Amino acid sequence: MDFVTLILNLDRKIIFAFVAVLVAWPLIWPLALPIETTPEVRSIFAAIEALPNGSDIIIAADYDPSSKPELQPFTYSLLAHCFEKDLKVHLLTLWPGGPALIQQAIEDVAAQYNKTSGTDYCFLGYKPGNAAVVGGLTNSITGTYPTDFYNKQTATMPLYQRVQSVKDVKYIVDIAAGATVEVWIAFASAPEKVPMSAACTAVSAAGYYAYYTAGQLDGISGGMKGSAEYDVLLMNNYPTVKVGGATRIAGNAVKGMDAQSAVHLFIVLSIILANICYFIANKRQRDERRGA
Amino acid sequence: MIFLKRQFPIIIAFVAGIMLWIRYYIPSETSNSIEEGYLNWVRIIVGFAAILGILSLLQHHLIKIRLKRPGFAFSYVTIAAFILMMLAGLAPFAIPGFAEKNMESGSLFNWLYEFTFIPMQATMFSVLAFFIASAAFRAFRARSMEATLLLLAALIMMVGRVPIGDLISNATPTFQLFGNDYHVIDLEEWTSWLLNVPNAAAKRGILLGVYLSQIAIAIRIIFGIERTYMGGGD
Repeated sequence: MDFVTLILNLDRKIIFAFVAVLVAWPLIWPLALPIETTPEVRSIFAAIEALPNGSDIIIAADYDPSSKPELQPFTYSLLAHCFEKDLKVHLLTLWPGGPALIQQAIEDVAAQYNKTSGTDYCFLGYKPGNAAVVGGLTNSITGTYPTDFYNKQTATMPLYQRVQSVKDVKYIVDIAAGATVEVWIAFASAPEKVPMSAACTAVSAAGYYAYYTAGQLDGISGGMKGSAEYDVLLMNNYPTVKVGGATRIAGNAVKGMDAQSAVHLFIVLSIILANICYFIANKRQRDERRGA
Repeated sequence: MIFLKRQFPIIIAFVAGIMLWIRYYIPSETSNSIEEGYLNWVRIIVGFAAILGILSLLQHHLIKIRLKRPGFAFSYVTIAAFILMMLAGLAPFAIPGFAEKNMESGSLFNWLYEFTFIPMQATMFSVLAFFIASAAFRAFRARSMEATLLLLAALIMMVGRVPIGDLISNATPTFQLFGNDYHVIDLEEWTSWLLNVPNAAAKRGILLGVYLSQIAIAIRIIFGIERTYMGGGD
């Protein structure tokens, strides 16, 4: 069997083995590839940076463990950024599989910054009914969420003595694994004129560029790369943010980018190789037909 | 009975649709409170729909076990996992060795979530990387002009949106155009153009079509022309 035939009939287990090695190798021995930031992610960072200290921000963490590697690092970095600026965070999720994941993030970051639930932030938890929940928040946050994730009355919290609805918050960020960004734009950001940004999985990011170019989203962070860029921006602008250690706040996505780079490069090279072999095989077939 | 099955849902759809539509044009306290009441109703109904989904899932697996259909053993696992997670989340007593409250960090529910649910879902999703790599190698061929364009765009996006793409771009020589410096291969610029121009334009066209049809369907439902949501033919 010659090389061309070998490549075109390559056992997929060999490809699986290459992918496994290329994912594991950079995770064990990091390559420390430099990460350059894109305008889409810089816009999110700049928008948060421009908020006056003490402003209120809604963070909707609409994802579950399947998107954890891509989006959880963004949640950590965004929360750290908000607490660095002393922003008051209203955190919630529209995904049933999300609450415990979000709970980990907010408890880790809040502990790092000595922030108190009910005063500095509130984790409202999960409610079913995407558009109905977001629409409800534009009328009343405490009406939609009478209790928070820990079953405490929201109406008595200091945070909700001045914030009644979405109108009273300065910014919205949706960290989304699905189509909730459109819900937040249509039912909260656009009607209440509250600016917003989105962080989404790499596979869904392309779908939101129509909103970004139209100005309905200030910025987009796509997949682990976007999270890594936000990590880099946060660490460059706030050197006090802890990297590594027991409670990792920033830098988690950066570590994953080496593995992603290696696998992407492998896929690209393998597609090019497979196409070259495909054309050679086609040419041979044509020549054989002509010869016959 | 026919009234409840046919006319009544149409009346509800008409009244609710018209009320919420008019609410946008007459913003007042009354219309706000009507909308709030409506949204509360929606959330309650969605909650019941979730219960219905759970019951339907259980029924499906119980029937599978009773009829011993192929793979019925996995249905035991589904039901056992369902009961375990439900008990861990709703148990009115403290479970020895775990935090006292069910939703607190360190509770059995959180332990199960962190050490079973997260790794299992992450594993399922990670497997995609292997299949995508294999599928791309086997099926991504420049067979036609359209396929070649798709292939080129995919190759640029895959390399251009990871750090190694920046390294490749920075390693190429630069040239000046209209006073700006460009790399011969500038993957960030190329990916940015692909996302912001052809991708956004195509997506915007699709979205306009989708939303216009949604408006048309909403009008049809409000006026009782579209009745398929009731489960019948017309």
